[in-house]
Amino acid sequence: MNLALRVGRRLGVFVVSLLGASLLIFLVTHALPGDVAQVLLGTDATPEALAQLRAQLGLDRPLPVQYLEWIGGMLTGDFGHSHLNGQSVLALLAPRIAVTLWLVLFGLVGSLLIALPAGMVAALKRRSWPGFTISAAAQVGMAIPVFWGGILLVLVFSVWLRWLPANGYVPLLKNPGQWASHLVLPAITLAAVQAAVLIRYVRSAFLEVLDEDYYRTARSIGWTPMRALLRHGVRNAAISLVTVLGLQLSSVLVGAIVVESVFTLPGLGSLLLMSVDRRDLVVVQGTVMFLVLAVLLISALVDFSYLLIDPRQSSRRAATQGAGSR
Amino acid sequence: MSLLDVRDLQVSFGRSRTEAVRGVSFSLAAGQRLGVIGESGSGKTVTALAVMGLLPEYAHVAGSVRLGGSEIVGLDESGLARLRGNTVSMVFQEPMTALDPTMRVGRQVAEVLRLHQGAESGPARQRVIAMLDEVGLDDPERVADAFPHQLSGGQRQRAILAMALINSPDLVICDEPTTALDVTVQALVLAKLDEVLDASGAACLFISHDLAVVSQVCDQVLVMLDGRIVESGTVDRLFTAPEHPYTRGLVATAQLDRAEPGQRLPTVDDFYAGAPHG
Repeated sequence: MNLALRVGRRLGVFVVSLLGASLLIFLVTHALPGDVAQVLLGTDATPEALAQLRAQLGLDRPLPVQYLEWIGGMLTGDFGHSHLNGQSVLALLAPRIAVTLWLVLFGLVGSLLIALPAGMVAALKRRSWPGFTISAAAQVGMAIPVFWGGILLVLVFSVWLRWLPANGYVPLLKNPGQWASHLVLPAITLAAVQAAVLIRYVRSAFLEVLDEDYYRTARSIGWTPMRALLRHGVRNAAISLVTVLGLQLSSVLVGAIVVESVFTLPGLGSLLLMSVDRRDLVVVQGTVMFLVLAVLLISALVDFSYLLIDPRQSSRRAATQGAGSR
Repeated sequence: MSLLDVRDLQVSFGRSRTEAVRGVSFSLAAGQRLGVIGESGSGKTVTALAVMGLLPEYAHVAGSVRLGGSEIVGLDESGLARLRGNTVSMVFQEPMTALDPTMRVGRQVAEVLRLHQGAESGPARQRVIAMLDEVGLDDPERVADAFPHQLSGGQRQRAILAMALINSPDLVICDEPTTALDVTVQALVLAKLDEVLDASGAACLFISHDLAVVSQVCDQVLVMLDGRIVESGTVDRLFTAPEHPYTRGLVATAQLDRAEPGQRLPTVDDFYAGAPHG
């Protein structure tokens, strides 16, 4: 397929998904019971005062108008302003994006560092104890809720051993050492939970490779099983793993939100929870919209990474040509 | 001393110990070519994989396989890895899937050299191209730079042949190397195999279900049936005076051109109705 066509089609999907997501986010947030006027004025406010405040904030207008206004604002780079304190949503998001970004990045990299070797060994030694042990550990890991895993780590490393802080955050530029020590436990929590899920995918991807003819060919020319798998298995397994990673990304974000609240990290997750609690819908919408944008962007990147990993994807034309000689 | 010496080889699989090979013995001298013929399930591929040490881990192997003086049965992975690609190499049945789809063909062929000789990539490439040329691939440079999916089945099988021969092994095992190819390409690949085996002086264990194909490459043949060798001898002897009824059936089906016009073509079943029970 033509690359330009492919990019164009992907872009179309991207825009449509974004629009669909925005509509869904808007409808769901407006279906929440209670509103920001109630929160601002308290439970004993008069209906008149509530109505007046709603009119002031523009909350009494028809939903389609509010939706279009929100969308229009975002197109011009204005994600709206918090009803509670008038701060712009983008200004609220900006300092928190870095926190969540670090957490997700380390969580993802950490989970790969655990899951890739573990899944590979689990596949290669599937009939002996290393394989059984890894599969069992992954099973147990999957059953552990994120928040419980986080609390366990805090108990061991913060309360008993006193090696690492239990909560809080220090920006990287302020104090790199402090920054790292505050991120270690949250990142490990997120990585461990993700790794437990990923190990199973990695294992089955490598099990497939073990059944392939090219793996047997690699063995027949003198590679040992482990080296044959490293040399000819990783890239082939990556083709199916990249898809899984793309799909897992949203669950990593959800995990990050939970981890942020366990370790009271000032990231997007804690902003989201706080804003839902206060019915600050503009902030909720803006935050979720930003997360959706990030997920969609990354899954588009994942799509194009196939071109780099799998040569069959990028050279369809040559395939028909090649059969020509004799 | 013979290059390959198989003594009373027995292979069974799984907990039920399903027997695939039941006491096979044969030997192969350096440079000799031996055909193994039999229907699917007769144990010929299992025998070949036992010689490579490539049987799955749930296979139970008994007996002895001596290759170039070392015992294969019970040898550990690193010992086997040293022999594979160096003393013995293998050409598999399915050219479409036997190469890594994500790696250029030339690099895959060169891997054999790097693995066993530590060859540098520059000189290795020269030898790869020469070898691809030798197995009859036009434009070997282009083939070396191609990914497997850009080549035809016949081209791929010849690239695999190059891979099996580039490190000058003493023994090349071919497991139905042309079965997946169409007839004209089959004849071409067989002719090339014959040529490169002659040039390298390697011995060959050639497995096929087709006596006509075997006779193009080998002069000695074993006939396998239900995990046993039922007959062996020169191709000529087998064609002129087959002893076992199964072999007679094979010979008749390999010489369909001799069937009387208007008559039903012969099948193996006309000669051999299956193993007697018990």
